[in-house]
Amino acid sequence: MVNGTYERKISTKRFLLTFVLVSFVFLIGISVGHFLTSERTSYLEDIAYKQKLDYESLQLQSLYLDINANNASCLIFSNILETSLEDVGAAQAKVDLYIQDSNKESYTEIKRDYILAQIRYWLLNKKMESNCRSDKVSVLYFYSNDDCIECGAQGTILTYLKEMLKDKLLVFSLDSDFGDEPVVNIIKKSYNITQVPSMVIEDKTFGQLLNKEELTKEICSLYEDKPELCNQ
Amino acid sequence: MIKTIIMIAYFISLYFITFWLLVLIEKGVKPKKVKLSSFPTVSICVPAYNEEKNIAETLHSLTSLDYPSEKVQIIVINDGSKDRTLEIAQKFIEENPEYNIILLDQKNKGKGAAMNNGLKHATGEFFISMDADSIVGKKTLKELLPHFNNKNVAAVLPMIRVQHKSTIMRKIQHCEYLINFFYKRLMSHLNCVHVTPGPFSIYRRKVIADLGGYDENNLVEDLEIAVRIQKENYEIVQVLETSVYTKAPANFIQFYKQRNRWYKGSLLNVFKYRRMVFNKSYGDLGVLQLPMILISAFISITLFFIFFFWMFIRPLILKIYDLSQINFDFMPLVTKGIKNYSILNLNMGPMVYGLIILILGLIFLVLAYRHSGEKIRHNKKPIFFYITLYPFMIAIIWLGVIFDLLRGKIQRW
Repeated sequence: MVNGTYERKISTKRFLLTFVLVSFVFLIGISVGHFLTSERTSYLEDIAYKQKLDYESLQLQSLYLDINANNASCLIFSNILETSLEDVGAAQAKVDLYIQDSNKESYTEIKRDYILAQIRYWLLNKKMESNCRSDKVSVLYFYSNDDCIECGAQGTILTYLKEMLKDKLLVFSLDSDFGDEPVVNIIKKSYNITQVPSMVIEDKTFGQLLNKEELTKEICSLYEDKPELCNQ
Repeated sequence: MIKTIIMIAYFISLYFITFWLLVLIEKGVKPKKVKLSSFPTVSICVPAYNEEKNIAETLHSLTSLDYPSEKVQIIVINDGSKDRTLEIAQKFIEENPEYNIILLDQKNKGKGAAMNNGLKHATGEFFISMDADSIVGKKTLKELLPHFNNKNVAAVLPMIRVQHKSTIMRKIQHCEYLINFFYKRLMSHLNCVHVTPGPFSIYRRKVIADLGGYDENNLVEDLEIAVRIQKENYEIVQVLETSVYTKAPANFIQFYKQRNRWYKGSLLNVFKYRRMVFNKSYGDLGVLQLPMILISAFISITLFFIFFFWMFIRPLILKIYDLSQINFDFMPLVTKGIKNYSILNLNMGPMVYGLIILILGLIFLVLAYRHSGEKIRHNKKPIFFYITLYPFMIAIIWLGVIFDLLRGKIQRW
C-alpha cells in the first residue's frame, strides 16, 4: 500500500523573511528613483531659472533695438538668442527623456517653463527680424513623444541640419500634445497644425515628415547668401 | 503596462532567489554522513532506442560499478530500435557472462513502457533508471544508497554532468547542469524536487511498483513519476557528491527539441496535477515549487523578451531608422550628444533591482561551482556565454512551447 509519511509544511517564517528582504530591496530601488527624480528636477529648475534671466536680458535688448538698431547690437542679440535657445532645447530633450522614465507629474511644470521659453524666443526672434537685417531661417517644429516614430526621424534631421548650418538656422520645438499650455494650442490653430511631425518654416506650414533633401531645399530657398550646405 | 509586468517579473525573480539563498544559509549543502551498512540488491533498467553508439559504453560503466556484482541485476530493454542496439547489447552480454544481464526486446512503445517492462522483471530492492546515453562513476551507487536509511525516502538522485564538452552549446549546458543540481540540492531540503532524471536515479522499487509504475503516455515520464512520488508524501533526495555523465545536445536545434519536450511536459504535468498547485496540504511544494514551473515561463519570456525588446531592440531599431534619415552621417550628432550628456540621464531605479538580481545570481553560480569541485577560472568562456546567451535560449524555448500548446501540437518522445 502506498503511504509516504513526509509531513508537509509551508515554511511561513522563511516566506515572510524573504518578503521583508525583497521589500527592502524594492524600498532601496524606490528611494533611488525618488532621489534621482529630485536631483533631476533641481537640475532642470536651475536651467529654467537661468532661462528666465536670459529672457529678461533679451527682452531689454529687444526694447533697445526698437530705438537703436545697428549691426553690432543686432549681432549680440542674435548670439545670445542662439545660445539660450540651444540650452533650452537640450534641457527640453532631457525633460522628455525623464518623463518617459518615470511618467511623473513632477516634470510637467518645468516642461511648461521650457515650452514657454521656446515660444518667447520664437516671438522675440520674429520681432527682431523687423529691426535687424538677418539672413537666418527659423523653424517652428511640432513633435510628440507618444507613438510618433517619424518625430524621432524629423528631430534627428533637424538636429543634423542645425549642426551643419549653425547659427543660420533656428529651431523652436514645441510638444504638440502639451495641452496644459494654451499658447501652444493658439499657435497650432493659427498655423493649422493637425498632426505630428509638422513644421512652420518661416510662415509656411508643412504637415508631414520632410526628409533631409526636401527640408534642406526648403530651408536653402530662403537664404539670400547661400551657405555651403545649399550648394552641394 | 509593460513597466508593471517587468516590475512583477523583477519582484518574483528576486523573491525566488532570496528564498533559496535563505534555505542555503540555514541548511547548507552537505548532506548528513551516512555509511552503507549492507549491500542491498539493485536492478538497473536501461531503456534503449537507437543507441548503438552509446549502449556498450553505458553497460561497461554499469558492470564496472564498485558494488558486489551478484547484487546487481541489469535489464536492457530494446524499444524497437532500428539500428544495431539489440545486436550490440547481445554481444556485450555474451562477453560478460559473470554479470546478471537480462535483455528484453519490445516493439517501439516509448520510454515509459520500456521502463514498466523493466520494472516487471526487476527483482532488486532498489530500482535504478539508466539512460543508454549516460555513464556512471564507479562509486556512485555506494554513495547514493546510504541516503535510503530514512524509510520514507523513495528516490535518491545523483548529480549529472555533461560528458564530452566539445561544443559551446555543451559547455553552456555543463554550466547549467552544475547550477541546476546545486539548486535541486537546496530544493531537496524542503522536499520540493519534482524531477527524477533518467541517468541513474535510484528508486525504492516497492514504492514505484505500488504507485503503478511509469505513465506510458507522458512526454516526461521522469518528471511525472517524481510528482506522483511527491503527491504520496514520500521524499526525494538530491545528492551532489557523485558523478554521472550524460550526453547533452550538441547544437541549439537539438537542444531546442529536447527542452521543448521537457518544458512542454512539465507544463502539461502541472496541469495534470493542478490539484496540488497552490494546495496548502502540499506545503512548500504546493505553494512555491509547482507554481514556479508556470511562473518561470512567464519570467523567462518577460524578462528576456519584453524587457530586452523594450529596453534594447526597440530603441535600437528606432535609432537606426532616425540615423538612416541623415544617411548615417552621425558624427555631428555625437559631439552634440556628448556635450549634452548627463549622468542623471541613467534611469537608476530599475537598475538597482537588475543589479541585485545579477549579484545574487552570481553568488549562486560561484557556490554551485565551488561545491561541484570545478574551477571558475577554467570555465570563464562557458560562464560568460551561460550568462549572456542562456536566458535568451530558454526564453525562445518557452515561446516555442506556448506557441505549440496554443496550436494544440503535442509530440511524442
